[in-house]
Amino acid sequence: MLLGVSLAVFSMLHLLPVDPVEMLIMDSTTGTAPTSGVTDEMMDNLRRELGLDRPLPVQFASFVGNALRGDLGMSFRNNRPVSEMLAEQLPYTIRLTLAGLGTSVVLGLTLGILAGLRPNSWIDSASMLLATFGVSMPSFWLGLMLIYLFALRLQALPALGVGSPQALLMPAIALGFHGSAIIARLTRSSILEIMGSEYITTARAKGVAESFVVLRHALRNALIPVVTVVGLEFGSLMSGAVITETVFARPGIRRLAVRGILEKDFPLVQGFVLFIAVIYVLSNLIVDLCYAWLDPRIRFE
Amino acid sequence: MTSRRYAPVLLRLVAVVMTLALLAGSGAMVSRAQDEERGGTLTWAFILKPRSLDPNVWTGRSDNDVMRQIFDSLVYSPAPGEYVPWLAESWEISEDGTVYTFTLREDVTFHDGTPLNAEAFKATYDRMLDPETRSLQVGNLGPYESTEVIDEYTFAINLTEPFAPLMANLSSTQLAPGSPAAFEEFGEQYAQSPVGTGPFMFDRWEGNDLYLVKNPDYNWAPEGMDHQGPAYLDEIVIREVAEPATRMVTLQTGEANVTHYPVFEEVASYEEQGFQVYRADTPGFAKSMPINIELAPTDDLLVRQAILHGINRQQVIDLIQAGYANVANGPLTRPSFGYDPAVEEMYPYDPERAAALLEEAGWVDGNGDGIREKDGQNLSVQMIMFDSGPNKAMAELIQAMLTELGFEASLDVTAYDAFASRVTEGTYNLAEMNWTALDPHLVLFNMFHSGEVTGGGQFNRTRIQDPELDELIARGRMATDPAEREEVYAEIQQYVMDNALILPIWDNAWITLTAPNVQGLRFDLEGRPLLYNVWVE
Repeated sequence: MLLGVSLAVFSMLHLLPVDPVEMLIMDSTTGTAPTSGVTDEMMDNLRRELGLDRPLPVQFASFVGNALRGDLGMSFRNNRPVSEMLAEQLPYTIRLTLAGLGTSVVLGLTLGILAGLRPNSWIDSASMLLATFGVSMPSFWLGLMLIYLFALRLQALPALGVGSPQALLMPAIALGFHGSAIIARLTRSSILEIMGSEYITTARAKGVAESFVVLRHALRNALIPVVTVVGLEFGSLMSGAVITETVFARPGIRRLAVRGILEKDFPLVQGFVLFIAVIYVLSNLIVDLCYAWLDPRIRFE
Repeated sequence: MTSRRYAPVLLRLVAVVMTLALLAGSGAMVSRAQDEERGGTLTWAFILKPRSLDPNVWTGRSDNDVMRQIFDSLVYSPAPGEYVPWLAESWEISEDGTVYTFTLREDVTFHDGTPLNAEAFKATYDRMLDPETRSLQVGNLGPYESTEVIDEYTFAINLTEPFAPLMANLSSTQLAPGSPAAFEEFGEQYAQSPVGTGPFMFDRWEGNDLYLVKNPDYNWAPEGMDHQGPAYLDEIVIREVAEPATRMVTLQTGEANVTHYPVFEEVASYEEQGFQVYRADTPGFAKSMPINIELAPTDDLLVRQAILHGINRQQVIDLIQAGYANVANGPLTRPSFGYDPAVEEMYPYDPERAAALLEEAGWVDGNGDGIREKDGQNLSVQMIMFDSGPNKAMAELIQAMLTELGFEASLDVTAYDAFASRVTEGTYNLAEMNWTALDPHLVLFNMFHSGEVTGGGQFNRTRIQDPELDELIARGRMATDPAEREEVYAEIQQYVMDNALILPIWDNAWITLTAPNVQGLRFDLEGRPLLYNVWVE
């Protein structure tokens, strides 16, 4: 599968009508070049030094061969090893992803359970209104609003999302709010369904405390669809939270990748995609393991 | 009772005495502060994490703002075409303009302790020419032949033919010397840990934040700076804040005390709140839309002239740049060497004249749909733009103004790569260009030389290919007499505007905002901040 992903991204990059060497001589922010009089000789030299003059199958084979040894190549633009650049930014990405995911799960489960236990009550309506709000609100807008309120007006939190532990708070909320809305809706419907089932009635008949019924019997079964979403959400947050990173000026592999795409930095983009593919595979594996733990009926042969 | 009544009076007296004492004390402190206590940390909310800090290899516009603090140049340029000593004490240019001999100061050392000498310059330029370095700055050396070490502190740059822009290039960061010992030590990592001779030294990276510290040995500032000796600031922190709205907020929260690339609509209100706004107008190629002379209908001079008369450039500046720029009237901006004010009268905003020109060219609105036609064809133009900074809003406004004139104007705003491929294909009528450059040759060659229509960035987006114009550009490069160069450049500006090759919009202006307590900020000719003079109160 990873080989397929590599081949797909490699082909996509090389099918683009843009010459990476043309892009290399440009400053894509100002649209100007750092020097005048770039000669064909200079461009040929760059092409040779970067290995772009070799036939495509050779380039692909050398990328795969090096990647197997953990070497993702040198970034064209930054002239540094891609693996080093990703490793440098990765801790920030993981921290933000986990914080965002944590926000999603805690907020989503709380709202979902409350709503599911009291269907059609004011708590239910309020939670679901908040959930609709969360799903439809773009994260950059939420981020800017949080900055306006907590950093500028109340001066309670720093605007930049890096440096101190509390700095992570706003980015985590901006990132996790959307996911919490999805989780809240899922939890609500699962809880609703399960609370009507016979084994809950049985548990109650045994005289088990209501809180134990909810947390031990209902929630455990209600969690299965939630875990699926959390797993998917982890992958997509790891690869996709570029806007939150930008708004709060946090380092991260996602912003690195976006710049790489804009600047046709092939090794950087290939390395990033391969890395994210690995993350998806791993998070799917963890989700599958969680199923088995939550529901003993699911067993692996 | 009485004691209670008098207590506040006593307290007040004590307070007055204490205040007086404090005032006396602080008075003494202020005068001492002016001499030696200037310092502080400057935190700069920066548009983009610098990718490379190696000025000899690759420089982005914003990267160079940082490099200017770390690297010194041979000469300093206080005004266009004027040069004063910096690392070079004196210099001599041979009669034929091919040998530049420099005598260096003898007291300069790099941040790693390596002495600055003629060998260091030779090492810097040899390294640039080595294909493995992949330097994109080689062009700044022009028709370079070799660097010749004459003695410890004297060297000559030999050229194969005269190259007038060399002095300007030497005054910029691109040809600034780096430590030969550091080239050896760091290899490809040099761009992440640069070693120059400047007032600030690279210290460390923390995440995406870059830390520079004061060079305590610095004592070779060029003439015209406000002091000698080390810089005032103890430390500079470059924090990447890519989102403009967040950059502005960091000034308010105190998380940064200087920023650039602002949200223009907010600049005036920041100024009212006491933040300082600096505007640096830079030499080079004005923010313009080059007009493709190969694709109809802009292959017709009358249509191009109509566009120039029909666009209200002042209004564009007011709406897009909040008024923070001068109207451009030709390819070169006002602070450029060789700028010719004659272009200012050529294309005043005059929609009636624009309409008359279009009618003269045969474009009339026969069916009353608001779009002019000729021979059953609509007057359609294709605009292309890459999405960065003010570009999108500017292009949309100009599109609306063209529609007003009776054009059917389509606009494609894309990322730079897609824009570049449209330029290659030649499927556009109006594109984009702006370029800050110390010497006019750099920009005029790129924008109008026949050799630049294809390859090497395709900067000649007007697609003009005229041997006469090529000849003028070559004369400007070779002429060693500044007066002769000025004449040549006046002629080129006239040519460009007579043929309406570009729609100039504004003269490049770089805006920097600082907190009220940041003092002494000034800029070099290229609009780069010179943080050497800055202190935080």
